[in-house]
Amino acid sequence: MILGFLPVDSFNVIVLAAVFVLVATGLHFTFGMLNVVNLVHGELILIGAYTTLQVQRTTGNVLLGMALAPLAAGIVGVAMERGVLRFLYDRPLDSLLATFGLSVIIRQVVQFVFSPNPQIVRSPIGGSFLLGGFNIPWWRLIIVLVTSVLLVGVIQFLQRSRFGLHARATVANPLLAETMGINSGAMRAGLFALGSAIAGLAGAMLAPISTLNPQFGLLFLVNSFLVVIIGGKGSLRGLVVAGIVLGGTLAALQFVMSTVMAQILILAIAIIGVRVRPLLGLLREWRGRRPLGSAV
Amino acid sequence: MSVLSVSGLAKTFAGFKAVDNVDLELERGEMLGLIGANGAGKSTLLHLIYGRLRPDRGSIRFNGTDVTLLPVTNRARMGMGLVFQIISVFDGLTVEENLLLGALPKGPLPFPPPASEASVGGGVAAGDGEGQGSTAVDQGAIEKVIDLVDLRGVRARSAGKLGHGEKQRLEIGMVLLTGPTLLLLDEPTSGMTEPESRHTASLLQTLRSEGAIEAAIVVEHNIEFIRLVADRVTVMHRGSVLADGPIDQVQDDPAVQASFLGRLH
Repeated sequence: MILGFLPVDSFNVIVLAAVFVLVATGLHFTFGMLNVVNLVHGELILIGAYTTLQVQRTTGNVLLGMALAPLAAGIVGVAMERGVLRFLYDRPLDSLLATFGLSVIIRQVVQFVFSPNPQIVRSPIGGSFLLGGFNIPWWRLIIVLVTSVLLVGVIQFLQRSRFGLHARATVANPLLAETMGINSGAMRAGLFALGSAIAGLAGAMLAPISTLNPQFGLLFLVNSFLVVIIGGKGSLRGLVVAGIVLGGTLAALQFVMSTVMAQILILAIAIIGVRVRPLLGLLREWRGRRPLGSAV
Repeated sequence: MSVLSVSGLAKTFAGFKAVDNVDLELERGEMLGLIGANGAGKSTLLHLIYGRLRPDRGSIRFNGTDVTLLPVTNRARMGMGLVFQIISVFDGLTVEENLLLGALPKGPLPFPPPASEASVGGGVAAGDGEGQGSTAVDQGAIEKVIDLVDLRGVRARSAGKLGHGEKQRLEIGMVLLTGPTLLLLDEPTSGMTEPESRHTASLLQTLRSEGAIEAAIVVEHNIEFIRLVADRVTVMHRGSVLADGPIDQVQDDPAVQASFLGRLH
């Protein structure tokens, strides 16, 4: 279903694993940590991609567009959180409906402004190089590198920064956090903004290897949720493993079968994964403590 | 100036008057026991004081500032510390990290603080805890508190692995590090054995004699515990204050005896 247009070679196993991790990392914050069934996640990716497109058109500078994409998605994300979603943290069904509604609105606005026609975002770094007989496009290598750096940065930020500690405390026990003087509302808004910005970055990074249209974000929504849920909702390390397994498997399966069949198999793996996951959770508990708020 | 001044406070749940026109004063240095039968309104009153519930009527002044409409976070930073009925620590963190959470400066407030707030602050970790510009962690305060609550030996252990009594000491330590001028304890001995309760009482006595607690309200069913830690008791009955004064005097009050059906003896 997603990115079946990638040429099939073994480097794509790595690239697709990175893509799965990249698109799911933003959802780790909004769904994994904040527990919002965030159906607008795909449209935050979309905002990142179209911001890049618009800046490319206006200034001719794709990299500038990619730098502004997380900002645009982050601002939209925090506006949605403060304006609507913060009232719905204890109402999962309502927040699901609200994010669904917001996703439709954003898609329609994008369609109205940019037309439903396919658009192309130029790759800021074109060309490719040969490695071990494989032709490796530079931009795909950069996606893998950016995803790796992003992950290390996010884990460090959540584990070591004061914001990370306070945010994890808020997620673990909001009332206790408040009695410690932590501004839980600000922490939630910050987490939502961060998750949205990362989704925007994902959209910007992936735009050059895809054809852009208003449905672009939907492609990533299901797989993002799969990765977060199978990874053990709230666990970044689990997310990375799930992203690598699912993305890598999808790419590998594409060697031997059609993309559609591969995606069906991935869903089957996902269902089995969800059944087995409680056992993995127990294993983790047995091995030692999980970090506060299970954030990483 | 009173640390806490509650006047005409009322809260109704679906027609049930949980707290009905309650007045309460607490001076600096005072430990107040809040007692009463189940459903008398003690816990609701405590929730109103620390801000989890909004009153229908009445006002709450804390160190001279009207806090009636302020959220929990603001009251916490102004120096209101809460020890929960169900022991609440962050299980996934080590003892030291939990204490760090109490001690860390917390950034901007949900609502701008009133001007008088800046001058408030006491207890062990007074000062930096509520400073908006300050970023330093008061490591000295952490070291002092870790000794006060006797957790030095387990500082690197995960809080989830502590025993019941240790967890409560940790929770008290975390609250102390927020620099409270008023400590609110919601049934601190619930679920505890008799020796554990006595240990908690002696900890509170120690904290008080060390100057770590300036004023406190203890909601409790355990009268022996109240006798050990409180100077004064307020008895609640059906949402109102039935009696107020030293425990022996209150205990002899016929109305109180009737309310408790002899439970005070």
